[in-house]
Amino acid sequence: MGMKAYVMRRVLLFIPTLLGVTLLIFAVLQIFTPEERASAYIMGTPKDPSVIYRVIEKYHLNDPIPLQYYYWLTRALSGDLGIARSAGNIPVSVALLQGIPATLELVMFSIPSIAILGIYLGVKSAVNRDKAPDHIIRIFSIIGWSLPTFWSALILIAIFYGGLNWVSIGRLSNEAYAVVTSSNFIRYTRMNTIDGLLNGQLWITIDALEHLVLPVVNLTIVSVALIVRVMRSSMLEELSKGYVLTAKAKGLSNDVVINKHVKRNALIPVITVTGVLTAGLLTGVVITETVFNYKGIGYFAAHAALQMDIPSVLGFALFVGLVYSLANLIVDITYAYIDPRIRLE
Amino acid sequence: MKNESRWDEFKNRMAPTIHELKFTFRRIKESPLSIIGIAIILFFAAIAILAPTLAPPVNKDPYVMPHDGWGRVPVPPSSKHIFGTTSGQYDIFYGCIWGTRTAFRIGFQVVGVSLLIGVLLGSISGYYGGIIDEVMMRFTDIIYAFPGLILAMALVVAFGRSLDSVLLALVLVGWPTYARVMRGEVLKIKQTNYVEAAKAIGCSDFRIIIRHILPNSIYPVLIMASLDIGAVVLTAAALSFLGLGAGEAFADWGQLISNSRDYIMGTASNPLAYWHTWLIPGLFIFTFVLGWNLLGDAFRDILDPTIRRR
Amino acid sequence: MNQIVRLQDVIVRFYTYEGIVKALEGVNLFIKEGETLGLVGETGCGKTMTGLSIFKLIPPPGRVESGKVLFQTKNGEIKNLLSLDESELQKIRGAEISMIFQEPSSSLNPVYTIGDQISEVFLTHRREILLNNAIKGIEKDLQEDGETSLRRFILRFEKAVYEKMRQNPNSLTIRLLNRMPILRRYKQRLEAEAKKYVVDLLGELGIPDPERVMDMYPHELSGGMQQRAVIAMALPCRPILLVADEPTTSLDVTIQARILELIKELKRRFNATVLFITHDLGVIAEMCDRVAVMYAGNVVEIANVIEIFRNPLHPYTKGLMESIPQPGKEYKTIRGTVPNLINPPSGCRFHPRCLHTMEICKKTCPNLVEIKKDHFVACHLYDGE
Repeated sequence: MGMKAYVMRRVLLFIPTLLGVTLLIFAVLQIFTPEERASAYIMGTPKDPSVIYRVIEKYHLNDPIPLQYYYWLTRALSGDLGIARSAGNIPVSVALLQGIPATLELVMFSIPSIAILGIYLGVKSAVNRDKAPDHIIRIFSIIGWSLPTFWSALILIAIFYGGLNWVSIGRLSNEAYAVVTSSNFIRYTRMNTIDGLLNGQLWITIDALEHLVLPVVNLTIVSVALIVRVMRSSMLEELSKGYVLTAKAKGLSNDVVINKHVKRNALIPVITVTGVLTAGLLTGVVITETVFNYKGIGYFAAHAALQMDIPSVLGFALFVGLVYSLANLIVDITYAYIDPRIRLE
Repeated sequence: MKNESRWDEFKNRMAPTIHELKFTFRRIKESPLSIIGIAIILFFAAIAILAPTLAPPVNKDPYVMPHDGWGRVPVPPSSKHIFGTTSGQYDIFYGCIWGTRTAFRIGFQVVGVSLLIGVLLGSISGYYGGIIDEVMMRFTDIIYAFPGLILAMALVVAFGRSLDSVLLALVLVGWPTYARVMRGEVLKIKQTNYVEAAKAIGCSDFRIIIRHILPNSIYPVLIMASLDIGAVVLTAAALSFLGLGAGEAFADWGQLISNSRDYIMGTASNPLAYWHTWLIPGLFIFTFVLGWNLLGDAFRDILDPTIRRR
Repeated sequence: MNQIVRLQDVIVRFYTYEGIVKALEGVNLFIKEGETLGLVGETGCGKTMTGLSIFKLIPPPGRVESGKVLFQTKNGEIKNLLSLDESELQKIRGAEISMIFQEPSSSLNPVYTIGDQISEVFLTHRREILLNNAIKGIEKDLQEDGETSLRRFILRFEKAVYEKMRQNPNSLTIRLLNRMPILRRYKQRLEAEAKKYVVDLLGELGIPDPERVMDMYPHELSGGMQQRAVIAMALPCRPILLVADEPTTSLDVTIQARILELIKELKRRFNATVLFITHDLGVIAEMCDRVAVMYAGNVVEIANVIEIFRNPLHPYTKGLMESIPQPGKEYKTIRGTVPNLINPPSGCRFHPRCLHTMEICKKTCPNLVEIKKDHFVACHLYDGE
């Protein structure tokens, strides 16, 4: 079929998925009465009850369902998801946008760390099947997979912050924060590691990195097991295939057979799992940011949940749903790029 | 004479099954990880069964933890409270013991119901195909478009904070996985020759599903279920940690930690001041989940026919 | 005519949960230069394992217990392949001995193009020649006018790298360069040189439009083309011995004929020595000069092809020949079934199915003895001849 046609087809399928995401959130919203839903759009508590009825009218919260969906969707797409009570009464969309750079920074460093470590350990585990390295790697990954994210985070803090005092909590130290929010510092991306470089203030980048170490380690510990497991089983499956014998009969060394021939095939199922990995990361981010006081969208969502701030939690869920669907789309396209056989379908 | 030959016939028919079962048991015995997993689970089962003896209930509902006073500041372990207390003076030891029962309950109920719904819908969808299948696939796609915890958060916030909300939310988030796997297995088996042969000789659909399809597709589902119990308990603990759990007084490991939320980071000078509020209940969660994960992982290696033998 | 390869008492066993599978119990064979030896037998008799033992590629849980595989290399040395270590074996595999397998679709790596997979053999075993060609090519380019100075710099850099590779292929510099993604481009010229040979080779094999085929993936080709690609992978270094393990079994009859023609052509042109493994007696008759018959891990008879069909001596071979269906003839089979190799029959493994069993057959396994000129049989019926 060729790449172009496949990509187009996949992108077209993406649109109903997005609609589905919005539908689900809309359905959850319907659990609430029109009055409850109206209060999401009002800042503070209205003194005059008629305010609520005016909001219901304006936002069409009492209309027949299909119409309601239409109006809600158009409002949401234009950025109006209600007011975030738990975040100081700013609009939910603004709160989300504020938190995105921090979370993006965290995820940006976590994904390569998980992928590289996971693939390396998975290959090592498969090649040494049932021998010592295999057992050790598998035990550690099962332990990592069983750790509650908040618990491992607290343990990391206890050891590296409380005990050894090597790192600190939050996004930046107080000094760095003062500089970053001052008027001479231009926040291009709002990601401190990058902004530090762009502003020529290397120490800010280092400060930010120091604060990122533990959260990234936490996310890695919890997620790497997934990659190790898939990579290992995928390698084992490929190792029993015909082309491995052919490669050996051609006189290729074991190194070349494993790293050139088997790995390339074994990586394919791993790509598929990257989608699930993203889900795990988005989940892990909510808890990790909370424990580490790292103010990204996860932190925002956790505080919203604690205070039962409905528009915030649902707005966050909607955002995550859209992002996750996009991530899956990218994964599918990458998959087709790597495995030539898929394009035929 | 007739009975003898029938017994022999039965033995012969079952011989390969018994051979495989023996092989399975041998593999389980040889795998130290699965033995450790089983041991851990049995340990927790013992705690759960002995809960009334280990931590005699104080209130009518044993899941309501006793609290020794109303103080907000957690008290470290002492002879009076072996594991110390949380903020609000709930006894952590009591909470951990009865929390074991809660953990089993959450794990089994959620996974059990998700499995039933998933297997049922998945096999119907896979077997009949057509529009039923399409609709179900879209449905699961939509649920899949969200990471589990985050959708569960949204649902619990909508349903209202309670243990039942958590259970319901986790089931709603969990059944699609089982449905998908079951559907996949059914599709694979549906195309095999022996199912076509069964149809050709006139077997009813129901009979085909029960006798041919289910026994062959059930293994991956069972493996998934044992791995899922751990994941479900972790998600429930996370929800409790975020304040979306059963309520301050409810005996649940995640809830114990959530109670002391303002104190788990310790004081400014000593982050470890209230270590007992999170380390101990967290240890229970971790070990419980570890047991199930070890078991599920070992089962996957042992039961999967393609990697059972080298 | 000298012997190219000789297997002496090769014993291969598989250690499984159910027991030790005695797959090869003392296999004795030799193949002469330029001939095609057919290795025939039922499924499970050990033909493939015999082929793999020449390469010392028995898959785990199997192991070569004992025996020798004496092979005459291109320089005329005789080496016991089973005693060599991996790195020495890797130089021989693909360069002096090659194998083609049964299912072409699973023998080829699905994520690399045909061209990549064939040129890999050149790049592994014919590095020197390729490097020399590459350097000559660079020198020619350098002599042309009109190249920018940047380009000249790159060309000189490449030339230095290639010369270093020629001197010392394993040097640290080369290995470091391999790891850096951008600088790996220097390999492109080397690969292009290899591809030239691949195009020639594909052309020789009668594949139309070789440049286009080279860039295709295995799944884009038909079964027959895939098998031709697999054969092409076996040939680049003009191996002394080609082992063909049921190369046509999974193809339809018309394609089968063409592949067999191709192999015959290769034999004619390069005087190739072939070990042809198959269970199909018709193919044996068409392709082979001599035939070895295997049963349950033993070679039971070896003779020249006409002799085997006209005058089979071993009871098993006789049974095989008689079971070839012919119009007008009654359909005959060999009674009994292939034995379980975990608990094989004592003595001669064929004795439970043999019509001429004697007491001695149950006790001792007969050796391969030359009964007539060039006709070997392992059977107690011919003891004392």
